[in-house]
Amino acid sequence: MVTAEGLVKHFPLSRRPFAEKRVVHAVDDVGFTVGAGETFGLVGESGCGKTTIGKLLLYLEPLTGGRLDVAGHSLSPLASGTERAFRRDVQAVFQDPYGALNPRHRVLDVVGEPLTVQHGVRGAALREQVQELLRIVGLPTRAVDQYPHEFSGGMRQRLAIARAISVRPKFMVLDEPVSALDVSIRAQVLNLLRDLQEELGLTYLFIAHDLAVVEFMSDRVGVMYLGRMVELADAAQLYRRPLHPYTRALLRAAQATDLPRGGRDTVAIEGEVPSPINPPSGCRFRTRCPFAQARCAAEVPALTEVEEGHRIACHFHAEIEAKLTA
Amino acid sequence: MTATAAPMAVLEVENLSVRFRARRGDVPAVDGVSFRLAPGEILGVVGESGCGKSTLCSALTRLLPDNAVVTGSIRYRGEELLTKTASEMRALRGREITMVLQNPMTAMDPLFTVGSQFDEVLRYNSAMSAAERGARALEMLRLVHIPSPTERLASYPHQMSGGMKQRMLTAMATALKPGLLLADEPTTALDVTIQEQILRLLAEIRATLGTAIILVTHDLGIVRRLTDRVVIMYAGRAVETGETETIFTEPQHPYTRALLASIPRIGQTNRRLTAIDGQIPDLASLPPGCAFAPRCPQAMARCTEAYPSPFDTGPNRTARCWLHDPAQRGAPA
Repeated sequence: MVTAEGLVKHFPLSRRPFAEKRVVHAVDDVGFTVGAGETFGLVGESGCGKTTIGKLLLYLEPLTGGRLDVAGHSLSPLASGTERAFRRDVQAVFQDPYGALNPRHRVLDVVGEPLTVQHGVRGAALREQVQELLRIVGLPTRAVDQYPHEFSGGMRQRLAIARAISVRPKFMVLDEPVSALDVSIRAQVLNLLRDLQEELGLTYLFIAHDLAVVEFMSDRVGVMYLGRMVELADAAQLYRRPLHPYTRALLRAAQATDLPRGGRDTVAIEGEVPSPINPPSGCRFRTRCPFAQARCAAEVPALTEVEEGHRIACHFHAEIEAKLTA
Repeated sequence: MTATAAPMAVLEVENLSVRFRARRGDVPAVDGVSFRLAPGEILGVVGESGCGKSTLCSALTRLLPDNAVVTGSIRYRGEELLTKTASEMRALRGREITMVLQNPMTAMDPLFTVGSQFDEVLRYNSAMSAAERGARALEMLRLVHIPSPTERLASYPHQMSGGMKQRMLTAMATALKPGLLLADEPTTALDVTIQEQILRLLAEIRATLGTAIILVTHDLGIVRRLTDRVVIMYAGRAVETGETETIFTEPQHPYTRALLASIPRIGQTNRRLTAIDGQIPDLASLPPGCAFAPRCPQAMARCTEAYPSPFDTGPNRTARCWLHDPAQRGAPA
């Protein structure tokens, strides 16, 4: 469904002529694939490039470099005249259900707009189809005449989901779809997304910072740090046996606040994420990595397969594992 | 209760209620909340948006807007706070009771150096000399692990990251060794690895300064990690209180139980989460009886008729739920 090879996205900092050319290295040399019907999870802290990846896959940002195919469309770049078909095949649900819905439009228009634009559905037929969509996402059909402000956050997110699935997309980007919702509402929305995936045969890119939520949703997971993919594996593999020191640190931070209290072979890290304008040479995690050596500054570690389906970008992962499990 | 044998509490809150007067009727934001905080203890106040946890915090510092009506009792080291004058409260705030808030980005003035803002806190709230204040600021920065503290004090807020600012604000809030620190969602705006650092810091502060901390959060994981006791809030009421470990291992209120079951955990293999149906109620139009009853899998007829006072369900434990009515205990549910 998705094939991404060597994706690069740089944002220029200044467009003034003669100014020193500086760029934000949002995404650097990231590759992955997503199979049909699969959920690929992306985790990492703010500024790691996970949302930029989502935008590249949605063709909301042009690529700086690399090759990208999504749902049968090449995005490097998208062929002219195929944008409408692409927008039908690929849909998105974002974090903020308050900003995503036009407050002046009724639910009928908010949810029905893609159907009108893509298939010219109007009038009684539109009303009927929107009501059917509301039923699918677990909202009362009378909602069709209400306005978005009459709904709570969780219900608005259901509206956004109804709109996204209205045109029967093949692939959906879910960028932090539950992080703005209250804890008791999150489970409802996550279950709904799982059910819809099964019923409609959807493929998801699931972006989140919460590791437990990503594990629940994903078949495979990619861990990003400062624009690079540092580890990629089956969800079960990654959580059972994290290999990259950064993944270990993330899991430690998550487990420390997870129930039950965890410990295991994780890593505590100090310091903060460096600036993506001038990222560290070699391995970008080396400035915070307790195991960093001279080679880490000199040489960018490649994402290499260490066991079946488990790829990691670290020069010394074997030594680190030996040290931690000793 | 063992009130006579227990050491003097830092804070005793009894039957605290806050109502906001509004045009379309009163809004009961906090309703009959009671708890007790020992010196050096960390209490978690947990709940979802609109449960009254932040209003509770504002009530403890008497920082509520004019349309708030507060009843009940808040005693800090035995002194009633609700009858204190505005100037008496000002003397307490910043010295005895301090705060760390959610958003470190807006908590400092961008036009002044961090050092001058730190100095202002100490100058306003203590009788220290300039030299003493400078020395205390440096000492506090070391305590919260801020590298090169002298240079840091000369810098401006925008030159620091979010995690660094939150450390700085924690240092300011604890520089005068307050008896009580109110931390309202202190890590919500921060990344997980930074969050982990701040949580470690709060535990250190408690250990080295003996400050009692009230940690307000929606994150149950953080609560389990850091707190000794917990107050679980729902729709303005403390539905369950008790020691952290027992709340997590043997939750008694159906809301606590449902909330714990609905959270995805690392390493769990379930294909579905146990969701709580329905929505969080609107405080302005609460149903009669228990506010959780419409979402509660164990709701009975009486739950929609009347709301119980908290029942004692064990040592230092309460649950506000008819299931724990001692008159019914033993009878089939």
